[in-house]
Amino acid sequence: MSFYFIANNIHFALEVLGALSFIMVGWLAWDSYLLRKDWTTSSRAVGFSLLAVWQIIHAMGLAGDFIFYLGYIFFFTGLGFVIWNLILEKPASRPTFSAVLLIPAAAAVVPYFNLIATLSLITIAYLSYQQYKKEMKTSLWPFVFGFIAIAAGYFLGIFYDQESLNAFWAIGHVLEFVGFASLVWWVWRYLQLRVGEEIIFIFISAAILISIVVTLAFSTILIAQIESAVRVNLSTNVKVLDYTFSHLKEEALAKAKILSTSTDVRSAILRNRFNDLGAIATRFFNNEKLGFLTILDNGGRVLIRASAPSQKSDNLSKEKAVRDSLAGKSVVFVESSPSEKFSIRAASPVFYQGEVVGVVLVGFLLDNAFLDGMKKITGLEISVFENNAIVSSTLLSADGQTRVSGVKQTDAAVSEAMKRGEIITLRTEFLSRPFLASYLPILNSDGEVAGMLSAAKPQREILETANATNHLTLVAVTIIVLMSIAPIYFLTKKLTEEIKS
Amino acid sequence: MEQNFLRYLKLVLAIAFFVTAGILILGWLGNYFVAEITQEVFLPEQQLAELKEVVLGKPAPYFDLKNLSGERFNLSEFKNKNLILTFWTTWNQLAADQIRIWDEYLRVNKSDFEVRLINSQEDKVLVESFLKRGGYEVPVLVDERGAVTDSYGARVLPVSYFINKNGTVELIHVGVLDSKALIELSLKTFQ
Repeated sequence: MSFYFIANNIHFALEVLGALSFIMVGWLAWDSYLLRKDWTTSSRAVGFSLLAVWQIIHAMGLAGDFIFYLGYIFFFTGLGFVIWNLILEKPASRPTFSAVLLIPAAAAVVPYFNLIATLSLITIAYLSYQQYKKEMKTSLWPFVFGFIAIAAGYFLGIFYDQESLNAFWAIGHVLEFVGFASLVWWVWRYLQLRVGEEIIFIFISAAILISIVVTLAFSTILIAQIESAVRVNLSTNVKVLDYTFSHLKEEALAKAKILSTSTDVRSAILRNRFNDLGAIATRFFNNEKLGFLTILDNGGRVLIRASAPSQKSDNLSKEKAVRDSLAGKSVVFVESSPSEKFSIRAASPVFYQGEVVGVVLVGFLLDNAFLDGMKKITGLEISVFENNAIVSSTLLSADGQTRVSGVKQTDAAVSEAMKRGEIITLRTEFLSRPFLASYLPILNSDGEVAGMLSAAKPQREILETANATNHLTLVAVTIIVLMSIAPIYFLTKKLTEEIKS
Repeated sequence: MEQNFLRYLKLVLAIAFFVTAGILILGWLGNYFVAEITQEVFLPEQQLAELKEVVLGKPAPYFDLKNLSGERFNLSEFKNKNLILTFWTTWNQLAADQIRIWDEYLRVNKSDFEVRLINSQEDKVLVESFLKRGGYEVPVLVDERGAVTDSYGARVLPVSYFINKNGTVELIHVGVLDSKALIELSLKTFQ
């Protein structure tokens, strides 16, 4: 079972606990409001109710910018009301608003929101501590402690996101758990005096607890099955990619051989008829839909480049494919070149009376466009590596615009498998993002590993399926709980009245 | 009764105040981030000023170019239509990525403006090969000699020109535009 999946479920369960704790505190405040009917109590009730809404949105992990902003509006409005309430409840030594409304002029959304949230939560803890000091209300301790722990959890939230799990993530979640548990404990001490509410909350809590257990167990089984299916799918796709690669290599080699045996090409090289050579090359390049086509003399100097006629006279004799071809062999390699970068390159010699008089070099580019085309067919994120560094990829960096070119693969298991020339499918991290990926070695004619090809599926996509299942199950259970609250409420009311009488 | 009414009014007003303040702050932050993402980072100020001086606020330079099927398109055909022209090449990584973004954008969105992606100074065969490799389905025009590129002053690629219904260049964006920025800028420019 993936660590990310476990972490995802822990996060989900914790947020549900948070929602429950805020609902309980909010309920208590609304209950007090019914007795006191004053603005101070209602502000607290509204505040905690809004925090509960935020927590539910957060637990559901609802996506989209609008929901994101809406959630934060509820959160900060809720915090504002709670702080307001604490200030109103404590007439003496009121702190000024400036500490609360400290919003930075320029910010990166989540870290700064977390910072504002931390300040607000600390303000709530501080104000309630002042209240405790003034009135010696020891019962407020769990409340103060709870908000300090939640504030610390939010502060640590600045240093991680849901896709980069680390020690901050773990400590942050532990602190949030302690904070929410402390709040529940605080409310519970009040509820012990009220039998009716106590029964209702036991009922709701038990229902939610059962639903979380059922939801998480269900999604665990589901995810295990999805992950296994994705692994099979990845292995199949990477084999299809391997087949495509082999096909392209064979195609390039065959086309290089065809052109190199053309008498027109031989004659144009021997007679230095570069215009004729250019016309033949361009026609062949267009008709055969090649990525590039270059004709060289017997010293490896470029005579004509069909894809870029103005670029010529450079010497390619150091390239493996050209070197072997100048020695009289027809070969295909996957290697780097200054003009075509990392590409499939087939070279075939042009013979005249048993002597090599020139070389035809053709091939296909392995650029981002090529991989975009592959992605459209397979739906997977595909990358091509030269040795262990990415040269082209469909993966984008965090800005969502630029490709992740140049990034190195650091997983030792992958490196070992590539050395052995084997395909490997594993759970791996890439740019601090978890993926399920298959790696395939790219082999040259001489059997050497020139690089590798990877097909990957972000684990986030698999987790989204688990989350969707979690949310649907939880929503269903919540509806059932809400529907059964009314009869339970009337039943407990009747029971408590009978006990009183 | 009146006291109760005032109390509720106070509560409603307070909620309205916080929610409005929240929306305003987040809206402002949102605009800030869009500006941050789409800022023209690739060109020094002076060069940018020179580029803008060529066509910004002026009638768009005339063009008459062929697409990959050999069909001709000229500026007059886009009269009374909003038009975005993006200049690009296959060898420039960022410019090539702009084609991927346009491809994704045009697949998903129904836009009320026309788009033409002008390839600058490359052979038609190369452009065809590039589009075929990537499976990109975008409306491309080929400026093999670079005359149109020159008349628009497009020296740094990718660069996008937002031309309104009257044929005036309303906005020039140098650098990659992602889907969000495309929506944002087209709405801002054409409405």
